[in-house]
Amino acid sequence: MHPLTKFASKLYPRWWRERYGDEFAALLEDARPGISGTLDVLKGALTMQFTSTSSVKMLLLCSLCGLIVALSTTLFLTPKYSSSAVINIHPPQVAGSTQIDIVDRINELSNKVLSRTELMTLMRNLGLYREERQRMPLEDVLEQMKSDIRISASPAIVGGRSVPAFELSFTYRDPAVASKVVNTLVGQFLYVNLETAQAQTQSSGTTLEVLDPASKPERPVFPNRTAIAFAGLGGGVLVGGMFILMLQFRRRLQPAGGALAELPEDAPAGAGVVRPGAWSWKPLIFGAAVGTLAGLVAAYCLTSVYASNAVLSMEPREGMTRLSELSAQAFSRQELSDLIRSQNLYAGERAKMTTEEVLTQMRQNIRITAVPAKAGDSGIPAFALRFTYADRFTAQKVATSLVSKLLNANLKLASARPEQAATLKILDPASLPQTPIFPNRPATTLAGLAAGTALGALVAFIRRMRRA
Amino acid sequence: MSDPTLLVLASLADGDKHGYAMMEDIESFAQVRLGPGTLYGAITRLEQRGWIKPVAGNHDRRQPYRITSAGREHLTDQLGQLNRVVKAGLSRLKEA
Repeated sequence: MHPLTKFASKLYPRWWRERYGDEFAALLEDARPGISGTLDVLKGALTMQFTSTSSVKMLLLCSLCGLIVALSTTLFLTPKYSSSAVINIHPPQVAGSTQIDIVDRINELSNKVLSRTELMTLMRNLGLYREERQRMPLEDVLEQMKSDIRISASPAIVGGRSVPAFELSFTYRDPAVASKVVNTLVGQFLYVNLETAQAQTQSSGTTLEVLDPASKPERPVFPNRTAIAFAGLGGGVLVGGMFILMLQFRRRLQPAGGALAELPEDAPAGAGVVRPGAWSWKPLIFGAAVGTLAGLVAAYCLTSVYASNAVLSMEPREGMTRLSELSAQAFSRQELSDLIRSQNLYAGERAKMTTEEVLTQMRQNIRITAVPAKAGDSGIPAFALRFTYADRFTAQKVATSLVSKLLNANLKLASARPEQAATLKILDPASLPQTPIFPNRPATTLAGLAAGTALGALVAFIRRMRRA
Repeated sequence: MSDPTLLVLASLADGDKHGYAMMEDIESFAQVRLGPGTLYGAITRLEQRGWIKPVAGNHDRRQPYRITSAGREHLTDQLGQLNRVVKAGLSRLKEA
């Protein structure tokens, strides 16, 4: 007997080997199965294992498998370390000093320290994201770096009293580099703050003090092995539970067509037809599977749409009432037509639609909404400009152009009517969208699953009624 | 017809046989070569349902099996159904 066949035959459950082991070995010696025969033995062993294992054992087995798979996955994930520092921000202490908003000041400093130029210099000097720079556009790498840097305002306790402070952290695959980056950023914050303080009056300058210097992380923050292990365990229990339910349904039902192999244990001799009024779960499972598949296909085949957002502030508040007039001028027919031509937008649509229709579509893709922005919190009215497009880089480019057009239109209006002049300031420049806003892949897949299950349930119900 | 359990019952209908003999017999009358795993999967299910039983007093490793009366009754029913389908199909083919 081939060793592989012998191995496959040992995979049968113990009770089965005790009962049929000898005679099965005799059969294998007589039949001398080849590769297909060995695969048949393997299939038979696995089927026997799955159909004869108790529910508890099956659940434990699936949980264990889920746990092993989850823990093995963590071995292939690159660990990430997070280093952080805490900086105390002192408001001006001199007499007659102006009230400053700490959050605004942190934002102001962050905008300078985390500017595109500064981050690129830091990236070059410390050799950060080398692999990513080789396979991704620089803009994406910069966005990733920005997302790896976190600044959060949180009061610190010094000498038993709460003082305004902010925490600066950076997450990276090398703990020493993460710590070095935080140290550099802290230095830049201190430098930029000094520079700003010198430029401003003494009464509005802030003082920064490092309360907690950059830590050298010892343990990775990613992957969170405990969370992944629990997720694997949960997934295993879920799969095991579904498998048990499926087997129970299968045992409970009488299949159509008289397939003897699928008859229930207590089937009377001669049974082979479906009982009147019996539920058939097949349409339900089939519907759910097909629905999920259709949802997945739709989610991945539909054209993605990205949204680039920019936030602008307008002072005084009365200026907001002129926003529609401003946008009418900035986004006039001529301006939008120029933009479409220069950026080669809507190439497909232009081939089959009239110019007016393309312009209408573009106007629909531009959205201006009032937002409670960072500056909005301190009373300055702000609004967001959003442009949606199929290409994320184009979306950002067009959003940037639209912002410039708004600024130009505002300048023109201010020079024509100085008494109504308003200041338009960019709070957040047009962002580079990372993920599409449409289609929402999880939602589309879930919708497919729900629709398929509902349709399956309907078919099962109709079949039951017809049998009854 | 490729239902292994029905093929095993049909093979045992004319007398007791062990696994390898069943495999050879099925191949000769149905032109289907059952794999060892499929054959013993069918034997296990048939024995659990009481439609076949091992022949007692056998001292060889090759264990022969015998069809029970319940198994015979089931086989008759199943073949009757198949026969009706075969007859209907053939007559319709002639008419067409």
